[in-house]
Amino acid sequence: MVIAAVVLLLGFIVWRGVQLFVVSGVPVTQILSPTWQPDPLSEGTTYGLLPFIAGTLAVMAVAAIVSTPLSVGLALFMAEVAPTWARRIAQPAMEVFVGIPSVVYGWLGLTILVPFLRVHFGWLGFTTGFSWLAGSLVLALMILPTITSISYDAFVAVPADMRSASLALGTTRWQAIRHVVLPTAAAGVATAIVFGLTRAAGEALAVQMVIGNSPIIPTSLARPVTTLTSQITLDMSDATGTWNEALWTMGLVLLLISLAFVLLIRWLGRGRSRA
Amino acid sequence: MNTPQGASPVTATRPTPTPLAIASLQPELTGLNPDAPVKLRAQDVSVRYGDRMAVRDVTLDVREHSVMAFIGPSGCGKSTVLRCFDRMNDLIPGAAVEGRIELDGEDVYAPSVLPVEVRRKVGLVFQRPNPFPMSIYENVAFGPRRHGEQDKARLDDVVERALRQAALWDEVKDDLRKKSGLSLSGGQQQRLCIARTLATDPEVILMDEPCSALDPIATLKIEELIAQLKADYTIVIVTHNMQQAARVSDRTAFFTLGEDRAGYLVELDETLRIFTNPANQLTEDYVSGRFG
Ligand SMILES: Nc1ncnc2c1ncn2[C@@H]1O[C@H](COP(=O)(O)OP(=O)(O)OP(=O)(O)O)[C@@H](O)[C@H]1O
Ligand SMILES: [Mg+2]
Repeated sequence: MVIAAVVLLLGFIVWRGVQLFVVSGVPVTQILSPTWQPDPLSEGTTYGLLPFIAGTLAVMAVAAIVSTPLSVGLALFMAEVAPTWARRIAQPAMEVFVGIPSVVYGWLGLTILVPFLRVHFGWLGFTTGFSWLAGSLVLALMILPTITSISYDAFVAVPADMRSASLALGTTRWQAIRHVVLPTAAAGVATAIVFGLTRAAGEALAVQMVIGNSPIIPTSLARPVTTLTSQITLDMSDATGTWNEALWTMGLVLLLISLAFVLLIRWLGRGRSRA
Repeated sequence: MNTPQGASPVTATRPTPTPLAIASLQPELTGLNPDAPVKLRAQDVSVRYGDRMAVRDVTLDVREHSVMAFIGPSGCGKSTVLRCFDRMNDLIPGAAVEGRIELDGEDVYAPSVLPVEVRRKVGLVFQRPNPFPMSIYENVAFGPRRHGEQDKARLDDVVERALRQAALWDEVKDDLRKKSGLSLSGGQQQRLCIARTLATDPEVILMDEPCSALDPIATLKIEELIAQLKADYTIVIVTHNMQQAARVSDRTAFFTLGEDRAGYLVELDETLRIFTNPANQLTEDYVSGRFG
């Protein structure tokens, strides 16, 4: 039943996603154009999805770069250094964080982060504060609990006798962490990052609130960009005809990106069970 | 509690010498040499876990290039005493060691001594083989690398030597880097762990029931290994296997549980004497299987 529903849903998205090419006859290569001019009433309509694809990947990449060291460091601290009572508090706290609705993150970004960037870093080009960086930072915060709790589990799963073996060889605790715990948990940590990114890829609301939503190829962290999800939600109500088909195509691209992540998680998981 | 240590051979008057007895006629070959310097010493050592006394008032010494076996019923504190010598008890929350532990006459628990330095000189082989999830090569090179060895040729050399010493070289030399340490058999894993310990160039090797997870053939290999390693190292081995203690050790320490549930050292003597003519009735009962 469930499988049938999923297959039906996927089939539907694929079918709607290819309408742009099949029905409206837009060449497939056109979606790689950097120009997004969907309004059928204006001259030279072009359905270039490159700004959205690039924007999505760019926002996610910077979010991952910011979030990974923080959350892996936090997880490592919790697993290896923190006393038991701190662990007992941190664990449920993480779960609460995961549960916070994304509009709250978006609101924090909009009312605190965006003005902060505008006021203090205007000289770096953050003229409005709405920017690639703002989107990435909000996203980084949102995926932090996810990455932290999954990597924490990976660190805790490293058998205690691996640590003892290292210490018995006369290494310091830090060496045992650096050279035994980290490599052993590496696949789990990679899975954690990809899980975080999967959450990030699908996130629309919070990012849309701070990113500025300009369909341009990201070149500067200070400038507004956009992502597939925020553009879909923004255009949904206005788009008709071919424009609407283009939104479905964007949905399909998003689906493919998520699928790639799911496959990556599977692949990493397989590597781990073999080790 | 203590019997004369390093006593002269007791076998001279025995009518039919067993191979063991013959060996012990040549003390300089068996680690019974009374002139050998004391490598490890425990002086009135008691260990508690929290409020609970685990083992009390242990005094013993281990001579250089000899093998000492710890035997006794479960829970009498053999592992606990063993872990004092390389300060692995430091890692157990609530563990407190009283008394004095010496390595080459120096207090191992002195404030100026770093546990890391002690553990480099005193290696530990665990009950359950615990190779790292890395290649065989990386397992053996682990210690030297952490201690600062970078040179590839020298590392290759150390790895080969340690694996040869652990009698594993011929079995693994073709896929040192390809095979994970975890893909080896249990007995091979344990020899890999021994090689890993040897590669850090220790002076003492502690073994906590190193064969309890192994089949008889793998066990025999480890025992042969111990006999060879004795020439270069001082060894203390915990074992539940009486034959093993008899086969590999020069001297044997028998521990048991006291009335207060704390372990103590009953008797320490030449292995042959412990197994044939112990001074204490408790020892006699234990080694003859009449225990409990
Ligand atoms: N990590 C620990 N924390 C608390 N108590 C411990 C710990 N390790 C050992 N003990 C206690 O100390 C006592 C001695 O244990 P130990 O492991 O030294 O005995 P053993 O002689 O090695 O036993 P076995 O033959 O079963 O290995 C036991 O009562 C045990 O419960
Ligand atoms: Mg034990």
